[in-house]
Amino acid sequence: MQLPTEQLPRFAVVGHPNKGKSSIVSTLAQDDSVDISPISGTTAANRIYPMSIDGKQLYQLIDTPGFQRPRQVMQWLLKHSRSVADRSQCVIQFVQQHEMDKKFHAECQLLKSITNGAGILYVVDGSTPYGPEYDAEMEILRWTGSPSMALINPIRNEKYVDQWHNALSQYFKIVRVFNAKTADNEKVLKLLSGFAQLDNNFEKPLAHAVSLLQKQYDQRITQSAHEIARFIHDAVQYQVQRPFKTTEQQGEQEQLLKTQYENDIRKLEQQCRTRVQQIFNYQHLQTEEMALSNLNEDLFSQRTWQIFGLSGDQILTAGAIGGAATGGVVDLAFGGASLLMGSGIGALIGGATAYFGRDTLAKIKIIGVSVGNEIIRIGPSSNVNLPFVILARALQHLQLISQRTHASREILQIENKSSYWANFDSDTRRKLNNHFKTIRDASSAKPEEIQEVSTVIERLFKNQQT
Amino acid sequence: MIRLSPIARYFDFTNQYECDQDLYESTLHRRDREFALKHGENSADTKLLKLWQRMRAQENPRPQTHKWQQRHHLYTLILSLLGLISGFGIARGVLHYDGQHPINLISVITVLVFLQLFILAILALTSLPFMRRLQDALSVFNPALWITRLIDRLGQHHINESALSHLQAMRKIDQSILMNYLLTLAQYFAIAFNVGIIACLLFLVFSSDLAFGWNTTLQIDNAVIHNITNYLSLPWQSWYADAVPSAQLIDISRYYRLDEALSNRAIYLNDYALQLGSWWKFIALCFVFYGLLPRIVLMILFKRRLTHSVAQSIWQHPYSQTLLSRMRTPMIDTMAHAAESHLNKQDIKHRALRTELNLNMTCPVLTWSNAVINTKQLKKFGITASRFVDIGGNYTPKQDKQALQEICAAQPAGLVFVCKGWESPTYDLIDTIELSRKLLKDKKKPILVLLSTNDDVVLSQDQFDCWETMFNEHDDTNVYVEAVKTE
Repeated sequence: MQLPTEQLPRFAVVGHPNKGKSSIVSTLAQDDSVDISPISGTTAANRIYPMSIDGKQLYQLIDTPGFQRPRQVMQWLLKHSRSVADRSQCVIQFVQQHEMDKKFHAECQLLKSITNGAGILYVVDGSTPYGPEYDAEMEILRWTGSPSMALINPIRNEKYVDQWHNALSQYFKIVRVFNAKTADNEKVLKLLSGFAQLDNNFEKPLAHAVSLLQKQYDQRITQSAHEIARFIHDAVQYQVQRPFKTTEQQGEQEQLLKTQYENDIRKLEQQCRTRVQQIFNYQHLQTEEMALSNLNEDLFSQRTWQIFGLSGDQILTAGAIGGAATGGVVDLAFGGASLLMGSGIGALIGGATAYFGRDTLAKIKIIGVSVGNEIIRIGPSSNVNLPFVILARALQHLQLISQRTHASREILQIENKSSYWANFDSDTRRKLNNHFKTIRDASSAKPEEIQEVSTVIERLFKNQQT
Repeated sequence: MIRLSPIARYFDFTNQYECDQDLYESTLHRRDREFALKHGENSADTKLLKLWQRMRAQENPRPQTHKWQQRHHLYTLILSLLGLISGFGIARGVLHYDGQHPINLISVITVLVFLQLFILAILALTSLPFMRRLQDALSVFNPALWITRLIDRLGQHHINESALSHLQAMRKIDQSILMNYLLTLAQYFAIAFNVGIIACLLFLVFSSDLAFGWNTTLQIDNAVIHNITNYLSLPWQSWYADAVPSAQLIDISRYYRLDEALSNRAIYLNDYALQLGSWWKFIALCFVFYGLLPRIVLMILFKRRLTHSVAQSIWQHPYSQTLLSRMRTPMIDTMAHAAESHLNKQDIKHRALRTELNLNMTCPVLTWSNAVINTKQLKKFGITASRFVDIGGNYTPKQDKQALQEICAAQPAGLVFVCKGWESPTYDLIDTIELSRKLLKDKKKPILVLLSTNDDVVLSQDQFDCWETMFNEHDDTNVYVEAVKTE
């Protein structure tokens, strides 16, 4: 059920410019489109990140611009306040009076969200020392009277975390350390649960939200495993073919075809990567990974005949039908007394002509155009290790993606350890081997088979996590 | 909403599954979840799947599904036509009346009623689970099977890829679905066959005079025939007595082909012909109750079985579980919907640290928010500090102004602001620098903003660029930003 606006838990992420507010929001909202830049003032206006379930909001995160003129705001507040009791009202008055003033645009944006009922998440950088320039900010936030929590975000290191802890404890009841770029899913959910400490009314919706987010994470693993299984299936069964006319062309075409095969498999792998990243909500992620290699080993290469677009088997069937039809005329002529032998013999003759006469038929020219084409086909791969290599690479990618936060903007480096798949236990390897063999031998995709491989992959991934 | 035939539904599901493989999971989740919320996520699995299929068929019609739908209609049409024609034709033969001898009721009832009942009995018997082998053996007599194979073979002769794929698809159909489908199709033939028979009878009744009698070599009493007709008339006895043959009618209807006395009945010919003709109601109702109606019932039964087996097959498809999971899993959204708005920023200016800047002046050094610098570091820029003054931090803007007024009143050669390089510049600092420029009353006097660091914190290129960009917004060309040291 949609909570009324006044009961909806809202959290304004505030603080000095460039202290990781947007990174924290990006991590908590799982949104890698949040603009994170070292340029001060990147966040120019409040941006709301609602967490919604089927369109119904459970809570809101509000990314705000950093304080720009806190001392001047404090000066105004001190001038207009008569006692401690009217401090929060004073802040409201400040916002109302200066809303259109460009000078205090940043302060009005962040204070407006707080005066509208949002809880405060004050963010500082634990890798730089505390300084007196923060005093005015913290004092302003205290004047609002809103529930608040301080987050120490150690951007580069944790050198000054303790110093900050001591300083922040003077102003905030709850102080937590949270690294927006390295926090795993468990830490993120723990922090979200911690927000409930700000207000008792937040407990239930946040608990519900955290439980759903955990389920969402588990589901993402399942979906990713399915994508990997599909990719393995497509890669193992993949074939390419090209026609050629002369034996001289064959060598050249074979080489071109092998290159095409490799490139296509790599493309399939890249598509799988993208889909897994999409599952985890990464729209802008860049990765660096060594390309798949050694695909040309043990490829299955076959020359086939093609006449009018038919394979050899199809020519055989066509010949048999043609023969049977001819024989059928014989049966009719004898009024059925030939006991259908005419059709039977006709089928045999037709089929035999087709089988033994394939070469002859191919060289026949019709209207000056040659009807015979040879086709060279590459794939499916008979390399028994290929699916394991693909799987190991995909699992590594999945591991890195599942542990990455959306605040991280660095290129994802995937170091493919060749011994990764050697770590699979023998039972798992045997099961996988059987599945891969089934996939290799099947003529088309069977959803049941992909589902079974997906289940094994998911189990494998979860075991490696523990 | 499009209503697909069960067999088209069966193939459409696979088509939709293949189509979905090209879409992103988040798109599919949103689509299926919205669908489930609209139609009741707690509905039964099969109902949800059926509705989902209808929705997809409407929104994403697949050419292959359309082909299956067309084929189904083609099979139905051809079988119905064949049934109608053959029923009419056979009835025409059986009901042939040349005016010499009446139409033999025994032949009519045996061929057109009892034979059909016999076929129905065999069909019922083979439907029993333990009769599967007999069922398979008898399937070769199924006209629906002949028609489907004939159409596909005709297609195959053209070596048409579509026909080949159709054959391959047919071979992959679940056996129970295929059996129910063929049985359903066979009922179309049978219903049309009976309609043809009834149509023929009514046509002949309307357009000519018919006379029915009965004859047999067997020594059967009239009473036996009366009993048989009474049993056969049970369904309509109570509401249509006219169609129940009386004992008298049965008596007068018996004839022998050697009976020359028939012609002696000429004086009663009109009455006699009328009486013999009255059998037609009985015969028509026999066709309806023992031919047509059972086939209609079977049609409904097999169609339901087909629908059920298709629904089962779809439900057992692994993709169904994926679909249902998506439908029942809440759609979680944590991203912002509104676009980000940015202040207009100039391009980031990347500038290497200048070490050659030498202002060669003695001036006050203002340390912002307790920033630290030593004289050695100042000397690198040719600066000799005349005095150090703390501003910013815990000082109020008013106190800063007073300090600046006092400093600038002495007309210094310039000013140096020392700031913590690792902190981002704020407009608070910019305001103070602008105030100092105003108080200096000379735009040419240099103002140096020195970014300091300490042993633990160094200045990165990004941070330096951040300062550069902030000051680039101001058109004061005599404000210099320099770093004491960087990474």
